[in-house]
Amino acid sequence: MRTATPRGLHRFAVVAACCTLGLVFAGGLVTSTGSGLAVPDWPLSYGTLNPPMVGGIRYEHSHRLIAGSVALLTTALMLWAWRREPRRWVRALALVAWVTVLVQALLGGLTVLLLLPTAVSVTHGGVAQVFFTLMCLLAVVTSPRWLAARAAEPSHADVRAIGIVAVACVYVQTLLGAWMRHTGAGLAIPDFPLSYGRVAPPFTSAGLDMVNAVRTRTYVLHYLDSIGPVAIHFAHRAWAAVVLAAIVTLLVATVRRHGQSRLFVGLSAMAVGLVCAQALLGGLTIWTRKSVIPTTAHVALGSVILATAVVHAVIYRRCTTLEVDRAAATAPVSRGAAHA
Amino acid sequence: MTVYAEENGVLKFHGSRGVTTVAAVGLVSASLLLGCAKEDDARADPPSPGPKAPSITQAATATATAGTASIAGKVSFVGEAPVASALDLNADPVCASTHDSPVMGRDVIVGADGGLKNVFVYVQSGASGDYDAPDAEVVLDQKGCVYEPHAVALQVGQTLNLLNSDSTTHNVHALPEENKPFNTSMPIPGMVIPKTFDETEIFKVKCDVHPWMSSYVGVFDNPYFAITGADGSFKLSGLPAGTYTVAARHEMYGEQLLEVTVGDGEAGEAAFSWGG
Repeated sequence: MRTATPRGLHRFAVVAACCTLGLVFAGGLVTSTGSGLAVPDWPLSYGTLNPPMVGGIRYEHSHRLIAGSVALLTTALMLWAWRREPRRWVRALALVAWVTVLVQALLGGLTVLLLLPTAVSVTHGGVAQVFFTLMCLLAVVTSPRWLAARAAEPSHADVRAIGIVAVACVYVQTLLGAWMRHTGAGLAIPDFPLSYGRVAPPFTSAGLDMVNAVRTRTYVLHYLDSIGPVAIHFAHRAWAAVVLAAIVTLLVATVRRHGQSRLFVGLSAMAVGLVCAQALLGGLTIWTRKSVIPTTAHVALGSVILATAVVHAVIYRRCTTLEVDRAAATAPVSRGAAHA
Repeated sequence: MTVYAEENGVLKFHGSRGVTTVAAVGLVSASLLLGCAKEDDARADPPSPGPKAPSITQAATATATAGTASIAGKVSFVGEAPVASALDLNADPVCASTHDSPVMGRDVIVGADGGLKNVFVYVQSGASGDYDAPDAEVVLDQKGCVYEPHAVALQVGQTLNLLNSDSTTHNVHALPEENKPFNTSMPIPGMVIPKTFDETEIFKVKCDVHPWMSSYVGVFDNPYFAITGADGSFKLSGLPAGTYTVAARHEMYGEQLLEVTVGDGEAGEAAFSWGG
């Protein structure tokens, strides 16, 4: 019977979202420890569900077990929503999440069986971010606060647009990060925040000689065949600045338009804080030579930032009204009551 | 020694070599008759010493009959050598228990006289004609959770036997670009998987179960290649008179090229150095 969203569904969605974040972390551990092909077969591991849990097998097989558990949770969430959730679009969202986790499982299998081709591995990483965001959205839209929320604030086109741009910027950054990780370019630039002692690293073949001299003599790292990994790595760093600019702009716009709204300002301020923490984790990843914990935390925090940006955009759409937008155009700074 | 081969991605038992052949066939037959070939039974197959890997110099000279010239020299490391760090083998108790003393990283090994070990030195151009692959098989052993040797070289078409001498699971993940990549599990002690390669290149081999394990395989289309020993020396023998581009490739430092001309019976020299 679909009369009202069960409160239990929200709690279940929250648990599933938390488990999904754990899954993202476990997946990050697989790459951080270089264990991606420790188990050569799929879907079984060495032909069994219980392989010897040693070395890289421990990370890869644990990732598979956690992924299986999250897939079961997602299935249960989808079935529960389909049975009891009155809003069609929420049911559809749960179905999309379920399909996404199945696609993600297939991508995981493919990347093992095809020996980690970059395109498949990056897609696996990119879909992971989307899946976690979907699970967070399900947790948000089934919450009592969402259900009780009213569109009391005027919607502002600039905040809406910047919010969407911020989401796009963050997602591009997660893809760049995945590209960097799966091409082995994580230490293609071994110093931070500078790049080979400069604002931007060299991108020419002549520069490659300097790069390799610094790598082998100063950092005792293997030489590079081409400058490509340096370019990929630097793209991730440069785009981080774009992400920071987008998120800060979102905060400024939110404060200007909705300075009294603790929810909007709090979410956008949280996004800025998370991006700053992420920059620090990125630095730690370099300074510790890709030590497993900071590197993996960097991956997981990237997921959290994306989810935060998306949740901000969605809640903004929910808690503001386009009807007031036209009227607000003449009075750009809202002094409306705080919205909870 | 139990030999397996991959057919359509599936490991197939291909019998044994030497004195273990009859015993292994008997074991497999008994397992099939009993209808319950347990994994423990398979693991009971004791590791046997693999075919002894010919030294690279031997491999080079054994098949080089066309000429009487040679090129010899040394690869040196100039300056203070990087300090090798001990590998952390604790991820697998079997690995940790195999060694009484710390196992050091092998990326850069510099001898007391400044010689750089594990450098591929080979004729990159100048050698013409087709060279048959030698019959001698080369072994890349997984022993004590490290690859022995750290670098191996062979000719196109020559057999590389992957051997697991450990009582733990390894996977051999090869990362060639010109040849076909593969990722093969080797869970059974003593098992051997033969591989051959069609294209010239030097590529990395790693174990994802034990991420500290790496080795480099050099595949060449002529027999004029060597891997430097602890003193950094090398010798390419049996060369016909001519002008050759000699390459030296090290996993950490990259590649250097030298042009060397030798006449019949002459001993040419080549010296490479990194560091500084």
